[in-house]
Parts: sequence; C-alpha cells; structure tokens
Amino acid sequence: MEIDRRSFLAALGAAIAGKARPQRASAATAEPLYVSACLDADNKAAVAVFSLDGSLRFTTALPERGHDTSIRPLSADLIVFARRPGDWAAVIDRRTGSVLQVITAPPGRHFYGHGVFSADGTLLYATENLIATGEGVLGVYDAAAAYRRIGEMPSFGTGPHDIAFLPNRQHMVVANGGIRTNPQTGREILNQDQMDPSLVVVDPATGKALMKIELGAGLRGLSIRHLAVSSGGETVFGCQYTGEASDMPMLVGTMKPDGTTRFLGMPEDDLDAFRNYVGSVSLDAAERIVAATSPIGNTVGFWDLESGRFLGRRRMSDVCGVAPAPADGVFLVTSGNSGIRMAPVVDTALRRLGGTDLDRWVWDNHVRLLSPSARPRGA
Amino acid sequence: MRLLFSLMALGLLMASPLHAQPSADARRQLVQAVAREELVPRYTTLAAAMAAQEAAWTGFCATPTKAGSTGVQAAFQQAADAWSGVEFILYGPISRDYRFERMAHWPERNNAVGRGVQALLARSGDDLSPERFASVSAASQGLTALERLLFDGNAPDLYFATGEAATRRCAVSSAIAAGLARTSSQVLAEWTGPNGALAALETADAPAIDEALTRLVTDHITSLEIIYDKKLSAVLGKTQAEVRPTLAEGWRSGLSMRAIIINLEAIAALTRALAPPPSGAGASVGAALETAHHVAATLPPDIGRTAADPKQRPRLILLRDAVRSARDLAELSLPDALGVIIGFNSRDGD
Repeated sequence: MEIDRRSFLAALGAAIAGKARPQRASAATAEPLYVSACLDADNKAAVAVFSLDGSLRFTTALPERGHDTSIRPLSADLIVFARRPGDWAAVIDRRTGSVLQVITAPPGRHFYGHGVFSADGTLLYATENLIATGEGVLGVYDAAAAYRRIGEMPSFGTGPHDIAFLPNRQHMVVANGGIRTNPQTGREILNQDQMDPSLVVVDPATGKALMKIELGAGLRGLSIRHLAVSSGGETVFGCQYTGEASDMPMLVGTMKPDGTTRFLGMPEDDLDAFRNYVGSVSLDAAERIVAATSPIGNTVGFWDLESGRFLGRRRMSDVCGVAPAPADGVFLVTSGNSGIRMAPVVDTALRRLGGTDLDRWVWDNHVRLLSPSARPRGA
Repeated sequence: MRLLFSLMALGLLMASPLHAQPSADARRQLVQAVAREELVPRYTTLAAAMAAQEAAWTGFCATPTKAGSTGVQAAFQQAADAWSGVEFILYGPISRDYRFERMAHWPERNNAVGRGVQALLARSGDDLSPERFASVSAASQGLTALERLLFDGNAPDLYFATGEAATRRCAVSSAIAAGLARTSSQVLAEWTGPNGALAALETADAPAIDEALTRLVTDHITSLEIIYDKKLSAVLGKTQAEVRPTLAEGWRSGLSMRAIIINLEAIAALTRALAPPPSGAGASVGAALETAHHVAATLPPDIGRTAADPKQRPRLILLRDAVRSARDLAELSLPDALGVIIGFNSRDGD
C-alpha cells in the first residue's frame, strides 16, 4: 500500500507536537544517559532518554516505531530514525525531548533506520534505499541548514543498514545487508538467492569506496547489519543469517583498518543459542570486550576483542539493545519484555535497572549512550 | 480460512464484556496460581517420566532384550509427552544453566545432534559420569539425541549386537536418560524448594510479578508461533514439491503430530489459567485453540507424510492456519486483558 505522504506527515506532526513529557527538570550533568526507541503500554511508539538509576528524563511520542538514534556532536540534536521502511527521522532536543524538526527521505527513497554525523556535527549521513532499483544510498543532510538534503552517494551495496565513522573521523564503514526489499512488499526478502552482503569503507569527501569486503559465496545469506567501531579502528560487525535454517554460520566478526576480517568464534552450543541472528553489537567502555545480542535466542554473548576468545553468554528474554555501561566490562542491555539490565561479563546474574519507570516500556532494537553533557543547540 | 477463523474468534471477543485489567494484588495471585497449578504439576510429571525412563534404561542395559527395547521406547514416549506438555515454558528455573537447551535440541542445526551422538559413540572410557557428561555438547544430552539413538534406521537392533559398540550405545543412552532425570528433578526442586521460585513469588516486588506475567504471556504466544512456523510451515513448504519431512519434530519416533496435540492442550490449559472465565480474551483464545486441536486430532501421526499426501495436505494447511489465527488472537487479546506489554524484538527485529 502506498503511503499518502501528506497525510502521513500531518499525522507525524500531530503525534509529536508538544508531546514531550519531561519527567524531571533536565540539567547539564555528567551522569550518563541512554536513549532508545520504545513502545508504551498502549503500543504507542516513543523515544526515551533515561539514566542509570532507572528514571526517565523524557519520552517523546513518535508516529510509528523508531529504530536507531544518532547524536549530533557539539549540539543538543538527537536524531531518531523511523524503522525501515520508514521515510521520516525526527530531530529532538536531547536535553528536553522537544521535537525540533522532522526530516523526510526524498520521494522514491526510504530510510533504513540508521545514520551518523560527521565529526563537526554539520553533516548527517543516512542509509537509504533507492526503491526503484534497490541500490543502497547514503543520503547527506546539512544539519546547519535545517537538515536540507544536499546530496547522496552510493553505499556500494544493497540494503545498507548500520553506518559508523572510523576513528580518523574521515572515513565511514557501511554494513550493506545485501537484502533487497520494497516498501510495497514490506520486509520480504526479494533477492534471497542473489544477496550480496558487504562491508564498505567510504570516503564521504569523494563519495568513493576505499575498500569493499565480501564474505564469499558460501556466506551469501549472511546479512551484515550492525556495527561497533573501536578507537583503534577495529570494526565489530553482527550478522543475521537468512539461508537454510539448518545451517549455523558464525555471526559476529571484526574488520581491521587494513581490511583483514575474522569471525569471533564460539563453541557450537553457544552459537546455536544465537539462532542465526544477532540484533545488536557493542564494545564495553574500555573497548576490550565485544557484546552481541540475539532476541530470537534470548542470549547475550561476550568476546575478548584482542584475542577473539569467547567469554560466555547469558540468557535474557527478548534482549536486543546493548550499549557500554560506565564501568569496564559491563553492558547495559534492553529487552522487549524484561526491561533493562546491567550485564557484567564476570557475573552470570544480570541486575535489573531501576524498578518502576523502565519496566513499563517495551524497548526496541537499539540503545545508545548519550554523551554525559550536551551543549545547547547552536552553541 | 484464516480470515474466517479470526472473524469467528473476534466475534467471541467482542461478544464478551470488557473486563478491567487485574490489580497488582490480583496479578500476584494470578502468577502464583499459574505457577502452582499449571507449571509445577507439569514439572512434577516431567520429573516422574524422566525418572521412569532412567530406570527403564538401567534395566534394559543390564540385559538388553527385544521386549526391553519396547520398554525403553515406551518410556521415551512418556518422557517426550511430558516434555511436550511443558516445553513452551522458558520462564523460571528451566532457563538456568542451559537446562532448556539440554532437555531437547530441536530444530537441529548443522547436524549438531547427529555429530554429537556419533562422537559420543566413538569415544570410550569413563566420560559418561554425571559431572563429565554435563559438559558435552548440549545437542547430545537431550531427548533429540536419545530419539536418534533409539529410533534412527535399524537403531533398536544395534543394542542387541554383541561387543563394545552395543554396550557403549546403551551406556550413552543411559547417560542421556540419567541427565534428563537429573535436570528435571533440579528444575522441580528449584520451583518447589524452601527458597524456590514458587516461594520467591510470595515476596516478589511488583516489577518481578509483572515480568513473570509478561514472560508467561510471551511464552504462550511464542509457543504458537513455533508450532506455526517451525513445526508446521517448515515441513509443509510453500508447495507440495517443497515438503521437508525430516524438518518435523520427532519424525524418527513418529511423534510429530502427537507432540503438537500435547502442545496445544498445554497452551489451552495455560490460557485457562492466565485468563479464566469470564475473560473474553481467554474464551476466544480457548475457542481458537480448540479449533486447532480438533483439526490436529483428526490427522495421522507423521506430519511429513501428511504434508506430501495431496489428499491430506489441505487438512495440515488448515491446522497451520488455525494455529496462526490462535496466535494472532492471543497476541491481540491476552496482553491487553492481563495488562502487560509484550515486546517482540525476537520476531520483527532488524
């Protein structure tokens, strides 16, 4: 069904106008805050910012489910992307929750749910689908000019999903999931036998690909979807397997700056627990531990980044979002049905975060650490 | 047909008066009642069936006879039935220490069970002690592995051959049966013991009670999704040419349809416990489950064969659609009736 753009955008405006609900006076603080898309008890979509004591700073209503968020450096802007195949992204003041603006994908394109800012916060790059051809595109939006779309470049693959800057802040790595979809057929995979997943390093200054890594014919069905980049330049990638259910490929890997890739191995029982699906990946605060979640397998697993050694897994119902906790070796994990917990690598028990506020929400796929302080917009 | 099922069930839903969601006290009582009256009895049955199976193997391996092999096969069926009656529950002690994974390993990926069983059979020595056996691949520790040993090809005869291989096969089977019995009794003890999960619900705070309720409703809906997707759709294939009989659960022991029937009965019982009369949600989900059960009860035991038979295949499709409408209805009505919100990153993740 074709979405009527005008009525949809009107609904978006109506849904978010004045709907921010600050839960307490916000103040510049060094306290770590996290942001995630979520659903409330009435199945209404929102984005929420919360602190580690379990209290909500604000929730802002969204017209439909959000996916990932992107934080604009040197500004208070927080972008929430619609879940694919949505065609909107909301710009939200991350101190108050008020909606500053709505960005829409141009006609014939939709967002994939992820985006990233340039180091100076002036440009936003979003993964998009050129619907007519199924080509992956990185849309470029000028944050300083009301997020006007000022250009685009190829993602050098089909179905780009997550995107991140490498530590030099000059080059970006894109996870091309390799899956072609069309909004008219929803999330159905249209190219199961011709999937072409890849990791591509792009120079946004020239729009050229510097490197393209493919996993090979045997892993054609292994869709590369989510990324976490260490300050040393190693890219962690998490995959979802769409091929035969009886196969069991490795699901988490890393790529060094020179393009050398490896999979992070694990014993077969542990791999089985992931059920061929990784929903999110993250590095801990010290960037020594990799975490990957599987909501299908109700599992979060850990690896030592340097040695690649598997450090074990924990069970948590419907776990998907994962982000570094302030302490080394600890992750914050979110779930669609069991709230938010702290997951220390050294302990099998996951500690419930907060008690009341956070339990009332269904947490969507991704959670992100907001930097502890945010300068005012335009400062 | 799916539409028809849904409309019938929705009609029931709308004909019933809307009920207020249960209060905090009522939610605690509800969770406790479900645990006490629905879950614990099922784990009691499971522990008893597994203990009986362990005993059957001990006797059989002392003197392997044809009659004895019928006995262990019957004990396996009882054990598999008991597991089918509680396999949909992930909430509680079954989720600790990878017990759930060690009870059964289906669907099997990468031939993990086959390889695990072969590796066990090929080894020798004292590697089957409870401590050491608990650390072998989970795929080789459960009912799925035991089924392969006991029913695959000419498997029963392999126990009667003279020599090391037959002795080893019996020892491995016994170790699996003993492990299953041990795990099942641990789960039961951790539910009912002085500091067990049942006792913990007495003093649990409101978020913990809410989480329990949410998890139980999630398990309910997920179980129907698994029957629909893994137990039926995967075997049926999109067309008759794409039937995959060996993807059926329990195809070696011929228990595939029986397992689904027991699953549906257990889910119906959980529905009654979670949303007892006069709950409209409970009544409509119950009616949808009854429809599915009615269809399932008329079908032959082997799902793969039924899927490939042009005469029977439509009935199996009917069952699949009936299960799906029960799931849709459960998802639509149970969370709301119980005042919980269900997230499904697992289903529609990205």
